[in-house]
Amino acid sequence: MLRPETADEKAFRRDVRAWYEAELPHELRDLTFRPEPPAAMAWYRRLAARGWIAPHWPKAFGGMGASPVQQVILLEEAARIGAPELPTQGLNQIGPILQRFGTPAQKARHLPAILNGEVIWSQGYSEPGAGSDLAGLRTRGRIEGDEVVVSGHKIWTTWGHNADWIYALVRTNDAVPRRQGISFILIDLHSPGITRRPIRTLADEYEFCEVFFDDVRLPLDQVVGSVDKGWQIVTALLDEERIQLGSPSHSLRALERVRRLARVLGEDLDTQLRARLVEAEIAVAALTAAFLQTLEAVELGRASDPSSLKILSTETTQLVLDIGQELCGSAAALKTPERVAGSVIDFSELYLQSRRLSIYGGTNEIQRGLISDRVLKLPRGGKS
Amino acid sequence: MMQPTADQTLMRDNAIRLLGDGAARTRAATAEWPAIDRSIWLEVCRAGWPALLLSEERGGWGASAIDMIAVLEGTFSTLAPEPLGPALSITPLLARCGTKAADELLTRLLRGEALALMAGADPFPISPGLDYVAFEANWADTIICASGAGSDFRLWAIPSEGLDVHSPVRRTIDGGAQRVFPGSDAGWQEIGRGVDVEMAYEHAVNLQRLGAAAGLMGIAQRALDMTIDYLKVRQQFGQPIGAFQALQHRAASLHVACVAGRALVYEAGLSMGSARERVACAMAKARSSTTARDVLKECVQLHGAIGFSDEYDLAVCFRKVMTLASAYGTAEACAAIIAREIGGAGRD
Repeated sequence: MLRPETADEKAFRRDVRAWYEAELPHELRDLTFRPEPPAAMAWYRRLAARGWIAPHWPKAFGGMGASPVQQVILLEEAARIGAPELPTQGLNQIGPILQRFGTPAQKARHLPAILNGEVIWSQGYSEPGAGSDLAGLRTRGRIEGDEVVVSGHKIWTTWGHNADWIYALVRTNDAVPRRQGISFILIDLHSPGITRRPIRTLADEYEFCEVFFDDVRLPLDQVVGSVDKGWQIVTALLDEERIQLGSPSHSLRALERVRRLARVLGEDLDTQLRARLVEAEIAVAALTAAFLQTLEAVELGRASDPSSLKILSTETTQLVLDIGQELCGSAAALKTPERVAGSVIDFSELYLQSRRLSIYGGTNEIQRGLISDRVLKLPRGGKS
Repeated sequence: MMQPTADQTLMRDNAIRLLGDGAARTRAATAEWPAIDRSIWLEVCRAGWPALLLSEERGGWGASAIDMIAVLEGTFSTLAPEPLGPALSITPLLARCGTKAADELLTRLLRGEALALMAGADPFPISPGLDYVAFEANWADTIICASGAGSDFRLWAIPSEGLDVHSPVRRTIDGGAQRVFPGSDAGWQEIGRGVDVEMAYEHAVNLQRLGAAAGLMGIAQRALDMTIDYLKVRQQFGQPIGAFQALQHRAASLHVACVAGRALVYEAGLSMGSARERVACAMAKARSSTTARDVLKECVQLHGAIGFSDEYDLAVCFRKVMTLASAYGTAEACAAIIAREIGGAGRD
C-alpha cells in the first residue's frame, strides 16, 4: 500500500502482525494448497473468534465493517506470513446474497454458520453444457407441493467435495425465455440423492468436483427470492458484492513469493531480473490502488467497475507468477516447496493453480465482453 | 475508482476552458518552432494557475497533490503546448530557497514575465558528458538544476541564452524542445543550498514526475475515448466495427490498463509528503509511461489508416505521449529508482 497509514492503521497492522505471529500454527504457514478441511476450518474459526474473518461484512450481520485500508492491511499481513487460503464461497458470495435477498429465516440459519465456520459452502452454477453461457443450464427443479425436486449435474464446483451446502441455479420453468425460468436454491449436500466426484486439476490437486443430483427433495423455502426469479439474483447482485473477486489477495501472495526469491538470490540477481522484480512491485501497487479506490467509491455510493478489477487482479497475479518462474531458474519445475536460506520457496504450485483465476467467476473473456457492453457501450452483434 | 470531487472537477474544467483548443496551438507551435506564443500562458498566469501548489501565505492556493492530478489530467488532455505541469511543480521549490534570486524568479514566473523550469539528471545520456536534460526548453527563460548532496547540495539558475551556443535546443516530436547540457557551474547562479533546499528539490522532482504521470493518463484516456467513439461510428462489413468481438476485447483491455494506471497515479498522490513519496511517484511515472504508450499504439491500430494521419488529433496525442514518457524519468530510470529504494531484498 503506497498511501501513508494513520496512527490507528499502524496500530492495527501491528496488532494483526503480532497476532498472526503468535497464533498461526507453523504447519499452516507457507502452504501452497488449501489445507484439508479440519485444519483449514480450525484456522477459519480462530480468525472468526478474533473478529477478523469477515472484514467486508457490515457490522449488522456480524462482520467487521472494516475500512478499505484495514481490509488491505489484513490481506498484506496474511500474505507476509504465508497464511493459508480459506474457503471463500460463504463469505464472499452466498453471505452477501443472503444479506440482500434472503428471508429472515434464511439469514438466521445461514449467516451465523458462515461467520463461525460451521459450514462450508460451494457454488452450483456451471454445468457440462453451461459454462460461460450460464443461462443454458439444464439442471431441473420440479415443484411438487411445498417441495422442489432437483435432478441434474453441476461441475467445476470449487471445494464442492468438502462443502456442506451448495447454492445452485436450477431450471424451474421451460415455458418461458430461458433466463426467466431459473431459480436460486440452497441445497444441503448431505441430502439423499447427491453424489460427488472430485476432479483432479492441472495443479495435481483436488480443488474442484462434479455434483450429481438425482431426485433430491428440498423444502420450497430453500429457494432464495421467488421461484423462476433466480437470474435476477445473479445479475442484480450489486457490483460491490462482486468486488472481492478483484481483491489483491492472490497477487500479494504471489508477490511475497517473488520477494522471497529475490531475497534468497540477493546479489546474484542480475539487472534484468531486478527490473522484472520492480515490474511485479508496480503491478501489485497498481492493483492495490485500484482495489482501495473501488472500495472507497462504493462507500461513497459511486458505481464501481468489478469486471475491470477482476481482470486486473487475476492477470496481475499471473504476471507476478510468470516473473517468479523466471526468478526460479532451473528450480522452476520443482514440485515441492523447499526451505532455502530461512525462507520457504514455492517453485511451481502457485503458478499451476493460478491458471484458474482467469477462468473462474466469469472468464476474463466474459468480463471483457461485459466491459465492452456496459462500460464502453460498444454495439452488440458480431459476437459468435 | 477515484473520481475528482465536485470542487476538483470545477477547478479542472476551468483550466480546460482557459486552455481551449490546445491541439490547434500545438500544431501552430510546431509550424512556428522554436518560437512560442505566450498569449494564453499569460492568461494562465493571470488566473493564478502556476501558484496552485504554493502555500496560501506565499500567495498560492495551497492545493493538494490530488488537486494537481485532477487539474493536470484535464489540462494535458487538451494537448496544449503551455507547460503548466512543470511550472506548477517548481513554485514550492523556489519559495523554499530563501534567497533573493529565487524569490525574484518566482515572482516573475507567477506574473508570466519569465519562466524557470527544472532540468533533471539524464540517467542514460546518449552523448557522454551531457549530464542534464531539460524539457519544454523553448519555454524556459531560466533553467534550474541541482548538484551535490546534503550540506554540499546546490541549486542553480542558468539563463537559457547562455546555453544557446554550446547546448542549443533540440526539437522534440510533440512540437516542443529539449536541451541537454554538461554539468559545469560556469555562468551558473546559485539560488539555494543545503539539506532543506535539497528536500524541497526532491519533492519538486517527484511532483513533476507525478504531474507528468497524470498527464500521460489524461492523454491516454482522451485517445481511448476517441477510439471508442470511432468504433461506434465506423462502418465496415455492414456494421459498426465496434460490434466485432476481436476489437471489443482489445478496447476492454485498454480500458483496464487505463483504470490501473490512473489508480496508481492517484495513490501516489496520497503518498506525497510521506516516506513512500519517491517510490510511489517513480511507480506512477513508470507505469503511466508504458501504459500510455501501449494504449496509444493500440488506438492508432484500432483507427486504421486515419490513425496514422496527422490530420487527426490522435497523432498529437501520440507524439505528446512519446515525449512525456521520455521526460522527467523514463520507465527504465524510474525502475532503477524503485530497485534502489526497495533493494534486492524487496520491501517489507
